[in-house]
Amino acid sequence: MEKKKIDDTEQGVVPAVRVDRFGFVKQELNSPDSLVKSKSAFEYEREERRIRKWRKMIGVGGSDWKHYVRRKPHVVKRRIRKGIPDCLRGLVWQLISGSRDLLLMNPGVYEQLVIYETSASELDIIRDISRTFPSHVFFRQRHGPGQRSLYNVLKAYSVYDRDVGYVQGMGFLAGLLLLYMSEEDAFWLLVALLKGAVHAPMEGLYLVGLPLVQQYLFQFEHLVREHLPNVGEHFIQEMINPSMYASQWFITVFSYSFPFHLALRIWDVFLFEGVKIVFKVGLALLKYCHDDLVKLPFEKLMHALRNFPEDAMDPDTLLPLAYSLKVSKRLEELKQEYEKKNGKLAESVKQKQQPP
Amino acid sequence: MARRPDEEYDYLFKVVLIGDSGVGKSNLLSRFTRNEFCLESKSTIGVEFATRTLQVEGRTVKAQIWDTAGQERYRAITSAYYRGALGALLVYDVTKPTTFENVSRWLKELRDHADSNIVIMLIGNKTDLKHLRAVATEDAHGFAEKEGLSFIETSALEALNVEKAFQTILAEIYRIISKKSLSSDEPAPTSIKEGTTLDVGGQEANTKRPCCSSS
Repeated sequence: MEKKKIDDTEQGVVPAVRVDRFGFVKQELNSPDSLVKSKSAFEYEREERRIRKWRKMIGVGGSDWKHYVRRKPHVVKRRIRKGIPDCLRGLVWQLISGSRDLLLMNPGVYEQLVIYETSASELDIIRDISRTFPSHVFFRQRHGPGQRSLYNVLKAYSVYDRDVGYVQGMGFLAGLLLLYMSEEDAFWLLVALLKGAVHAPMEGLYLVGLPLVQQYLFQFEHLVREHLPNVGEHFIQEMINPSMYASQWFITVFSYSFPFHLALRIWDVFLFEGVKIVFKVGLALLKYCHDDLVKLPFEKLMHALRNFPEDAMDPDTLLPLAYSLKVSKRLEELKQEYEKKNGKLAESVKQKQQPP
Repeated sequence: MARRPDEEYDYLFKVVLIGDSGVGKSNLLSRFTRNEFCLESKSTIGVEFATRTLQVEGRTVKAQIWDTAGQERYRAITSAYYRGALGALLVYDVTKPTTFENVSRWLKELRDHADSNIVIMLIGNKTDLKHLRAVATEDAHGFAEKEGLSFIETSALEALNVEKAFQTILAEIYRIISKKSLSSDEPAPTSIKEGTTLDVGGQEANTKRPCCSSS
């Protein structure tokens, strides 16, 4: 797999618009991407070294990956947290999530789902296709290859997992994956996320009643109060609750509206460590903006929580801050607390899902 | 919460935008609050929020509008936002009959989750797509009359009737509230100014307000 480069001078497909290095149409000139582009020779060299290390770690076509993870999980975790090299990202994501194995165990299944099956969600999916990453060159062309792939993956998934079907938000996951891998690979990675392979970091997220989203919001609200008592207190006073700003974070793992280079770095960690990183990044954002947030009244808060400043969203600032926050133990306790409180509710949701 | 000096308004009205996915709720909101229309807009995940302050019947009214995801699965999250809302704009797409057929289901949603005397306005959006129209104005008008809703057709793209739609519902809310405050010993504006209609997600703060809450 070679490094993807978007070269404006390449023959034929010169886009009429200016795009950033990920293929998103540029809105303004001083987007964060311009910072990334001005890499020094030193940084390039460091990047090359990193890629060599990664290649060695995963082996040819990923053959050494499992062995390496078993032997040196901490090294893997540390390297992933520093960011997976972009040229290897697609492959590594499939290795981390275990979707490669799903693909190998189910030959022909994807094709079957795409070609022969029909889904009750087809119209819903079509309606959202042009509303998924509309500013990306791959997806903006009506009925173009990007939109067709997106449709196929989502339709196939809605047939494969009829309990979940299609839920708005899934398109952003599928879209993000499709920028790094083939349709079939993206499909199986979606399956790995939602149904499980190595682990299932999003299992239950999209079920009727969005039970897991509700639980996450409950947990996040408490973590905010515990980690950032002043912000927590201020939010209570201003009647801000996480469903107003954080549902998108959990439902799309930051792929809906965050800068793409940041979303990718979060996804690297998310696929290896699970949903914990979403809590950590969320808390880190609030922590970084703490001094501003505690001063703002309701409406300005609503705005600020959807428009974090550029410096707050620099992965190299935000992610180390996120890693430094410890949440695992409290997450588990809060989960139990939530289940105790809402046990009956969760049960009733489950019952509703059973066919009559 | 004390009233802040920089926020000059007589009334704060909370309004929700509901209706099937893809009918144009978010663009109605952006047209009304920012005079913008985005052809390349993303589907709404969860809830969005915007405000605009305007003159209604000679009073300064701040409209606080909550835009909700239309897909059924999201109602678990979005229905919490109906509470405390004084108005609801129920939107369908004049080119998509199913979105009109689903209006009754949305009315039921409101009956289940919103305050009982919430002001509801039915909006048929996308009238600019003339050649694709599939819901007749008369049908919608008849339905609205039967259900006791006000009704208007809009085009967020052409900025047609959007202002009028919001003006109408806000004026209707204003009339109801000013009528109420006449029969109440406590003047309405005072309690509304405090911004207590922001009740969303579990807090029971304003359900017993004498004036602006409709319970």
